[in-house]
Amino acid sequence: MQYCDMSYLLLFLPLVMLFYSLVTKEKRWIVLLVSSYLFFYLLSGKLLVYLVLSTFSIHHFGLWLHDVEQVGKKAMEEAAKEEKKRIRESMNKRKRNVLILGIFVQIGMLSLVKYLPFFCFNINQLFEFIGVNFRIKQYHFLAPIGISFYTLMALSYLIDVYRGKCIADKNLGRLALYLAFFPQIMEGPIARYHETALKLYEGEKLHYQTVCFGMQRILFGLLKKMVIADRLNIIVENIFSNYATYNGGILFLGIIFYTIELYMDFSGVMDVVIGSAEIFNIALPENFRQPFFSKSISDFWSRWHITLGTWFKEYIFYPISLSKGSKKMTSALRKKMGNHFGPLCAGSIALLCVWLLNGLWHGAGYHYIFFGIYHFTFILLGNVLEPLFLKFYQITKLNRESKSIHIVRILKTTVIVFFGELFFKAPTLRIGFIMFKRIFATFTFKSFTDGFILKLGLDGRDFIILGVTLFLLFLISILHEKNISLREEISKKPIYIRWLCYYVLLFYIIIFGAYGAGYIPVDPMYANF
Amino acid sequence: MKQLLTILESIKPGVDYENCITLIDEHHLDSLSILSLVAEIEDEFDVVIPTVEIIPANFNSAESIMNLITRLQEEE
Amino acid sequence: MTKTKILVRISLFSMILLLLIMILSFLFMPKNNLKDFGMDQVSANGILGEKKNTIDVLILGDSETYTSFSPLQMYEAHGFTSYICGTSGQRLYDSYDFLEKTLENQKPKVVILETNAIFRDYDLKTTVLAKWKNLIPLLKYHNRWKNLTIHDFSSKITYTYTDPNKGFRIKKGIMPVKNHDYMKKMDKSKTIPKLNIHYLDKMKDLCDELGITFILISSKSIKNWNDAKHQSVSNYANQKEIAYYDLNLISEIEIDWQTDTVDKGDHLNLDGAKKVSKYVGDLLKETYDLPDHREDKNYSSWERDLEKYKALVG
Repeated sequence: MQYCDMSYLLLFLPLVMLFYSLVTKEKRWIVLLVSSYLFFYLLSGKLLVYLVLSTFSIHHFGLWLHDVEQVGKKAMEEAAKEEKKRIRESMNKRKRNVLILGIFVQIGMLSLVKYLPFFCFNINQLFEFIGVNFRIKQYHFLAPIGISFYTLMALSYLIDVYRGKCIADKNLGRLALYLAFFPQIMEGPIARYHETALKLYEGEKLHYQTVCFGMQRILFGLLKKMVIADRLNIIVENIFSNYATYNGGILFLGIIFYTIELYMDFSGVMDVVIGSAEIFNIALPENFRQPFFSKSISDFWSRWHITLGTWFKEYIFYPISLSKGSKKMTSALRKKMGNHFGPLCAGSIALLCVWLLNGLWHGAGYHYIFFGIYHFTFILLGNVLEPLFLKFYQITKLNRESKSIHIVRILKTTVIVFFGELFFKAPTLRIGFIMFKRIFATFTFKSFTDGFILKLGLDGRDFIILGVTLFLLFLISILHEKNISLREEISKKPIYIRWLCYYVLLFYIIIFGAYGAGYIPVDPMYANF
Repeated sequence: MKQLLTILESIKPGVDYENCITLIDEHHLDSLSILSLVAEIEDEFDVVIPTVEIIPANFNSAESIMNLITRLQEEE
Repeated sequence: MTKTKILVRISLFSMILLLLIMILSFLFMPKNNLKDFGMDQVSANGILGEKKNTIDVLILGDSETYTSFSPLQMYEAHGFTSYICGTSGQRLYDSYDFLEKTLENQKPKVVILETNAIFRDYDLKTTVLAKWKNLIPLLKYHNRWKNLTIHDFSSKITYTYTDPNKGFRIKKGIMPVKNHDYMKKMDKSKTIPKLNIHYLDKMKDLCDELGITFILISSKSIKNWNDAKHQSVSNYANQKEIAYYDLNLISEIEIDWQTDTVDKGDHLNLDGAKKVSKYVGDLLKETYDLPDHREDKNYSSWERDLEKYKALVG
């Protein structure tokens, strides 16, 4: 069952809503938890055991951290002044150890199911290289779907407890629901404990308004996923699997289409997910903010998969760049090199860690690591060259904030993103480079003029629908970029206009959706990360 | 406060720090500026800013940064 | 907003929705069973264009059907008419749908199910989805927006197309496979998926109700058939008192896997189909007392199709 399936939208979700509204307020969280576990079971079967075991461990480590702190505090109250500092230090040390153990257990479980084959492969390659005649047996576990998202939520909870940002939850059920809430379990968004846990447990009754808003959001997501992403999937799969037979023009089109497909798929599913949660009056954090209006790569990453970026920033970037050693380095360098280059060194080291982990998080494979390094390089270049850019604009007297310069910067960023996604999508790093070379070596517009483009799986009418729909979505994006909320505008209109909008949207999806005979069903793209 | 405004101005000039309340949300301060800012504040005000406190809410305006500093000084 | 007001709104919204779905479903229904009209699986759906009550034998099943049985060859030899509603990878709920659809317009004496589809497993979800799509033609034919014409808004549904080969597909290629004893005895039978038992029962009941003989035939396939499957189908047939013919066990049909298969023993080619059709034609004629239409003027189109077929087969 996926979020865009009829079985989810017309059966699972309505049933959850029904049971949710039938039981008393105190029991509503149970309905959500049971349906979340059922959802996970339907997706991953027996791997539900993994989820349950992991939840127990998170709960336990949270309480453990809490206990260490309580014991320490009590000891401090009784102790003399000089003693206090010593006790605090030993308490912090213990807390740290507990946290490290807790993280280790989580990462260990994740590695076991996700990274072991990759690891064994590399060790065996090494053995072969140095001539040792021994090989590790490669085990393949079936990774629970969405496990990477789940792990990041679990870690954020542990670290937040450690940092005193939230109090360890004694209530196992509440913690379990926060970790497993069914809209989020497959593809995020990665929410923090303080963002959703209490609200989920509260069991507020269904409101007409939020249910309507939720459903609208779901429809909007289905439009992106079914009309655009699933349609583009046909041509994208064709181009990427037969890359050796197409010229550079077609390949370049392929990476553009893949980027659009990925965005429409991921953000479309996010709309369905956030809409589903909104029905139960749960506000999940947003994951996208018009990413294709980004003026730089670092800007792009503050608009694309936002919750992942925030997670890395808070739990990797700042802890590394503000560690004692880094701070010393920054202070020393600032005095010599000024405010711009001073923090760059510590910042870059931290950034490199972020991007290595980001690549690895997406999957075990060198092309993902390359994808991370690729984006790191462009962000680093942006930082290093910033003074030069400033000079450039000063000398040429161009206004950096003018519309035309904005458009140039946006186009530049988008092209960088396109090529990044090439390596993201390519099955191996080697194939990625081959395709990259082919794009430039064999670039031609020939295929666009001689009608070859219509032989890749989509006909002219498909392209018209794609064009029209993308244009409409582009207009909506402009509105959103200008902070105008379309649905609030619509909700102000009289009822017949609102209904007309719903019916048009609904039948637009039913008629123009790429499903049924001739279309292969497409699994949500981000579920496997 | 004046001291803080000077620091901010030296790190990234050209922002109306006295009135702006979206320093982070509108990307006036990027993560590198934050690193500079933290280093500078720690030197100038003799406090240690723990990583937990590096959240948008604490850095969105000069006032909230000042509040953070005062709070940390009291806790010492 | 009060509860009643919300309820009124929801029901009004759903009613309009339902109405729109019905209107659009009509609009999107193929107005003919021709491919140009957006019909799917035209060769199988060609049965809709056959004249009322003219088909004596209906054959259901997956690709094994349209590569094994040649209705026109059987017509030439014995004069009874047959039609193959075979689609590749057919699932038994599809077979059941074809049966129901056909019975609206035809009164066959015999309905044959080729047994390979019996072991094609699927889950409940696909079944429900297929049911939905049959219930709401809009979901099934939505892709016809690409070739809607003005006629779709007005005209009635008429089916004019029928497959001149009556569902049979002529495959002339050869891809040999080594002959081996693929029907050797096995200890265990292969389980028939539960949902398929359900649909088998349904097909049998529907046929019984209308006095139609429902039979099972396993066509020759070195790749798809074996003793384990034979045992379970045989058991089922015995239990439900259905006649079951496993052609794989009949040595009289001399299939040479060096020359008679188009894809290494998966499907038969034309030469193989000729041998199987000869045997099955004789069998049906002898056992089920089927009429001979060869002199009947109402069946002159069959004579014409036969001429064309003979030219094609050579």
